[in-house]
Amino acid sequence: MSAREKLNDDLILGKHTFRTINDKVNNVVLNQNSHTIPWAVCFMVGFMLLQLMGLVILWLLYRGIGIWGVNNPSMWGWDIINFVWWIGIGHAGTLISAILLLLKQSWRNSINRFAEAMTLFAVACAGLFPLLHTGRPYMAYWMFPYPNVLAMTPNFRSPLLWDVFAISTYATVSAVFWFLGLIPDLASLRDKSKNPIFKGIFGALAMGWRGAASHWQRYESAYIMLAGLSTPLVLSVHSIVSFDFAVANLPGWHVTLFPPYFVAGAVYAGFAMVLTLAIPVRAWYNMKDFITMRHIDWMAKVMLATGLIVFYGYLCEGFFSWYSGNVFEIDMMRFRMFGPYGWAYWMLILCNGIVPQFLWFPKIRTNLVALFIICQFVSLGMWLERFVIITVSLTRDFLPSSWGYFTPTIYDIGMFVGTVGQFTFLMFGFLRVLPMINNFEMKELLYRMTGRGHHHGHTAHALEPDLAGHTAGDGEEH
Amino acid sequence: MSQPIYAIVAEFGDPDDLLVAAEKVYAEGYRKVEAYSPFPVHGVAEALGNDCSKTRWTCFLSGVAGGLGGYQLAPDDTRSV
Amino acid sequence: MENPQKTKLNIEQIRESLADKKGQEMWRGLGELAGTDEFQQFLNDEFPQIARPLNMKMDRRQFMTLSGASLALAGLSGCRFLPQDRIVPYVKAPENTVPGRALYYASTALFQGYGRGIVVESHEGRPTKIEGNPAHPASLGSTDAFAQAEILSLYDADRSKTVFGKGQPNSYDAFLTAARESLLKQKDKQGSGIRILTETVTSPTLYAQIQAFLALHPQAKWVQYDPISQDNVRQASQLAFGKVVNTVYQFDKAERILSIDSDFFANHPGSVRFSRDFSDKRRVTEERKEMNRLYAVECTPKLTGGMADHRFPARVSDMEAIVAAIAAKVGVTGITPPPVTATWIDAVVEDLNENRGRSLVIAGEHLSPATQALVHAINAQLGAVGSTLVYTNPVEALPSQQTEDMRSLIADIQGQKVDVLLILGANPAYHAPVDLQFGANLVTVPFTVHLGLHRDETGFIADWHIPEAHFLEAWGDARAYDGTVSIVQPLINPIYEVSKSALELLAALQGKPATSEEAVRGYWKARLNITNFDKAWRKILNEGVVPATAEAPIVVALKPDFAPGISLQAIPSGNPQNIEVVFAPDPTVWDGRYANNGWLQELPKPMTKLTWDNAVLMSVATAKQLGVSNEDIVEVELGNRKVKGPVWLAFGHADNSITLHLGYGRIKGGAIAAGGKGIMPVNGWDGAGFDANQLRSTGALWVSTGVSIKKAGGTWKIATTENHNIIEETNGKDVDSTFKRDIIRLTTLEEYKQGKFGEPEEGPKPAGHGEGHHEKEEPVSMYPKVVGGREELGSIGGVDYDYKEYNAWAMSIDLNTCTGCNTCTIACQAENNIAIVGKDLVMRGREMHWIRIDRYYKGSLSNPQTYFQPVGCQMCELAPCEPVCPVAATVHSHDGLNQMVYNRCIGTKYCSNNCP
Repeated sequence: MSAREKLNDDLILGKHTFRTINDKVNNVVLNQNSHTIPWAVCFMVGFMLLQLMGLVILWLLYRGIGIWGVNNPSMWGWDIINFVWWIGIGHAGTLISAILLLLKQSWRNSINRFAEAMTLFAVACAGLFPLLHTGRPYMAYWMFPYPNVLAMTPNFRSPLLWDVFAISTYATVSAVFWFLGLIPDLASLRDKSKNPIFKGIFGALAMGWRGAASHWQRYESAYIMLAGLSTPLVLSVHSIVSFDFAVANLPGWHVTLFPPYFVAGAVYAGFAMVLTLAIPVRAWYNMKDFITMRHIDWMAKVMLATGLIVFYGYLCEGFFSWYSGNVFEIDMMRFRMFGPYGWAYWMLILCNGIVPQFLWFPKIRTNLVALFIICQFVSLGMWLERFVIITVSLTRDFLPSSWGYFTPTIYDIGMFVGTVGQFTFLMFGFLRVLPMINNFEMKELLYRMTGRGHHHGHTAHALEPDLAGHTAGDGEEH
Repeated sequence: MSQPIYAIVAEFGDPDDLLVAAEKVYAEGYRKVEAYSPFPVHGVAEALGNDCSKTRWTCFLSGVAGGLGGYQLAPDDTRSV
Repeated sequence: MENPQKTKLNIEQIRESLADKKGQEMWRGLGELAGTDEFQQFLNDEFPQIARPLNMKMDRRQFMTLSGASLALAGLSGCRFLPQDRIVPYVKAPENTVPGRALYYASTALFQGYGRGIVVESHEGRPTKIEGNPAHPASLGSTDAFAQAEILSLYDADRSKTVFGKGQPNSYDAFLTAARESLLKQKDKQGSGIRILTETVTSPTLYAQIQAFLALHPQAKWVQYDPISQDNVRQASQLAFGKVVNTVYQFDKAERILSIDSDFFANHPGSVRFSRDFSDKRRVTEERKEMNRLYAVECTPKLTGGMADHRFPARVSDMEAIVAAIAAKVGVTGITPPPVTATWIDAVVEDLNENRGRSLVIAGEHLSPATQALVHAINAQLGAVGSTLVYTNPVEALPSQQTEDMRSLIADIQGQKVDVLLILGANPAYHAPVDLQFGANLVTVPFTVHLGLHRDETGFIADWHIPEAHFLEAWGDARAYDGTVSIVQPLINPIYEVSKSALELLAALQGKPATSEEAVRGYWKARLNITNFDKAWRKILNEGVVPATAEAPIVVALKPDFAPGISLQAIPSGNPQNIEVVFAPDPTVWDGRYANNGWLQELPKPMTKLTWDNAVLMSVATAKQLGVSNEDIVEVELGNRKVKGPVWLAFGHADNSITLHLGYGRIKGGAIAAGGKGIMPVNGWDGAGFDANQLRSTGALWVSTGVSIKKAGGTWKIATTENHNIIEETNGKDVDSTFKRDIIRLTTLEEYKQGKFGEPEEGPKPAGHGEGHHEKEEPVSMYPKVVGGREELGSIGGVDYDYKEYNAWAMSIDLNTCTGCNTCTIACQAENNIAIVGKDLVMRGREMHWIRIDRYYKGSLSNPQTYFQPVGCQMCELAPCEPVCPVAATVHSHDGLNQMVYNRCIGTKYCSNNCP
């Protein structure tokens, strides 16, 4: 156990036994009545926006990317902004699942399932864009190195190609990691569900899990290896995405600070998204016992920390521009601040620099409404950051005759809103059919919280009956 | 002779008890033993003589194969000639 | 089997018999047909490879099975069944034809009726690219944008394809019949009711044809009219010398040039040559570290002002007084100039005087005759005659007072004296001065014929319209600005068979039909009158020029009563507030003839960078005075005529003056002339631009004061390629940032000679160095250095470059001599077949030119210095576009060229983002 964390009762609230944990988590999936109006509304809205996205994509494939606002010089617009934004959001989930695992932070136990699902869905939303932003998406398979009669290999010097591998690696590793973690819980659902169809589906997915010690041993071994794989991915994937810009020579893009700056920004935006989802969902599904204020508090602190890093990054950029003495860099900063898109820059400073400062105050951190609002500002701010970096830099190139303006069209906006819908749809779909909290890890946490084999009488927790919820002689299965 | 006993199942209320039992059973010479728990209990698998070296080796070798394979995909030299 | 009595079927009959059948009936019809012997015979004749294997007789089912869609008898409406023959590949190819290799032929392009030699590249019998003819004095191997774009005009889909008679498609024979009838009626009147209207004719052959025609009809009259009229030039010549002379400028001998609103880089028949000659004296080389000096007095910002070392904005109405003042200062006797406030005159005159014999004053052709006559006098005084310019006899076949002739023509029409009007290659219904009401008068003439490339405004209302053959399709000849004759050699048969050239039409109308080749060859055979004409003719065609046809210099002297003979107008109404309007040919569509040429429509105009539109150009001060700014629609009223147009600020335009470019607002120009794709009508407008001809009258062809301008409400979106309006918002600082960024380096000749190559005023300071250090920071280069032989390779970023193994390609453009004429942009577009995108997409910043000319301003808004910088792909050795393409669609060749492989590109656009 890490010296930093004090295992204390605050990670699980209320009287809980293994059974109550089990029931509570599985109930959300098995009992169809547990999903009420909020779920329905979110799911339907997500679904509708998903349809919107489908239409936009169809129109895009039919007419081409000219329907967007991209032009010369702003060749990348909302498409790449959205791509980077979504990928960034995904990093929080992996950080929670993988990095916090390696750091032995048990507060991750209740949020990691949910956060990792968020990662997967965010990557799904992001993954559309590298494909669709190309002029000939049906030729995008040329980015993969397959043997061909042209003897052509893709160009490995290109950051876009690194992206292809990074994102696909990230998607596959996250998916496998997430699924692996799901297996014991799927087995639990298999055992608990009464409906034969669901039993069958969960059973098939659970791959014969019986909770045997040998299973657990292999599970832990594999899980930690995947966590070990995922950890560098948190850092590398967004660094590679940042290379899309850092490797280019455009003023405003060519910043060596970008890899850590982007990664920090990713975690920042990701935690904002986790909180945006966690705060309402824990209320609607009554998961406050598991996702406690402790969790919220810590997540807010991580947000503050990464927000400060991001803000520091802005200050660095400003300093570098001036210190470089390079007229292009200086002008780039000048245009960012005072040019036609200056409003975006100052909005950005507000959202990413000023607003997170509120998180210093515990009163605000623990005020769920305030925190929720702050998270929206953060999400917006991170989107604006990508806008400022990508589009505003493009509109002010080296040659003044290459300067231009970018205006989004309704298809840009429609696509973005559509991906938000896709994300919402997937997320709420997930809530309905899979356990949003890692069942067994919560039980493990409960066990560790109550001490090994010591039954402290003074603790208010689930000790009589015993941990398994059995009274002596009770032969129920758990 | 009464019916043959195929297996004995023991249920414990506490993971620590499970661990103690596992060690004892193994010490008594029982090998066809399996311990079930709702979450991993450390030490039980080792006490029963399980090891997951297969998993580890598979992972490692897959990683090596993947890595070497990946290097084959990329060209060694990107200068255009 | 074969019954000789049976009639042989032909396709007409088959079609006829099937004509009224549809659907299933059709099949039945076909099937029945299949069974007949006649059809079998037809099949055998036409499609032997089908008939033979079937052993002639087949039943209906077999026919159906086999024919499918391939015979498709019912749809063969477009075919002509030629006599059966064999197709073989080239066994004996036409001379020199190797498929895939281009052939080059010399020809001549026409500009304002004058010729400029060109060499046309032809692939498999189709002309694809126009270049200059090095042997031709007006070209010396170069062309202008119009000549480059003519190749597209040849293939223009909106060209007229059929003869039209009385509004209906008709045949050429029908036309000839009708024409002969009309002409016959004129026989008794000696042809007094016949008028021929052409543009300026320099072509000796055409002149001869016209003379022959006039000989047949002695009372007939021939009117020449070109909307960009040289009348003032001729009148000036009369005023000065008592006769019409042609001025041949020799810029390669001039060290000091004063241009009075002349656009000699682009708008003169000799402008291609002038640009070359000027640049010879402009270029600073190892051998010659001197530059000529150009002073420009200008109203509308033009290329001349852009190139000028010193530019003085002045209204066109004031130029007469200015020139008079200069004349007086220079020493022309007998001139009393009106008072003029132009402080620069002294300095300029001093400079011109110091360089007598090497200085030159050139006046714009639109200036008043008095002004131009004064310029002749100034040149004479400066000793320019015989050194920097020579006078020759006129090059035009018959110099005439074109506007006067037009007035007479209209008077005759109104007096019903005109019965037959032949319009050969002109479009007066569109561009004739509005007070002539040409279109309305034209329809009153009993028999009108229009010969034109397009069925344009005139062709539409004329009785007969004959499609004209493009100059690349027909023989002809033309004379250059110095008189040199060159032959117009066609490269392709007329694409639309019925097209005729003016020569052919006239020949036919004389009752002696001849092809244009016969006409031209016949004329020259007679004129050259040498033995072995054929050999000489081949040589002429090969080189493109007829030798020894340049006009010899003549000696003319100013008339003794020259000075008093000029009555100088006082500055109109003495009130500088009286805004004047200036009419000018458009830099890219000229007088409207190129309005349907997509390349030229999309070519950004050199100074204003406008595309697809014309605008009301004015200075910043004038706009402020009127309370308008860019894109505001204003109504310009002159006399009782009005025209609406959008405002566009032209930096450097003279105050209290507006410029309207001609050539827009065409209603029958074709699809492109109507605005191309993506245009949304605004305020009830359609199409590209507004028609400035509506304000232009014979009394004020070029300039007029007394115009009133008021806001008409609304805006008209303009597509300009200079997307950032440099001067607009922030402060004038942007103006300088170009120079701070070291993109354009300026220096004076003196500093250059001292080895200072132009440091930016506040250049990039090397970081970490203290004040007062003098090292020049080495700029980052995309071209790695070669430091030595093979062993010491240049290396940047670890990439070694061995220039012995690989080439590095470079193109350097001398920014000193670049006039900004934009010919390179069109040439690139022609060579690489670059698409046009239309106004809407140009507004969105998506134009596709591979090379563009950037135009930067430095200085004050009222009279800035202009700098041009062509920007094309630099073919960097370390091209930033190459490493970032994920699919390697942009690669580097052995030659050192950057190659964009279109078929590999998937469109990530990273290459574009990474190009600096």
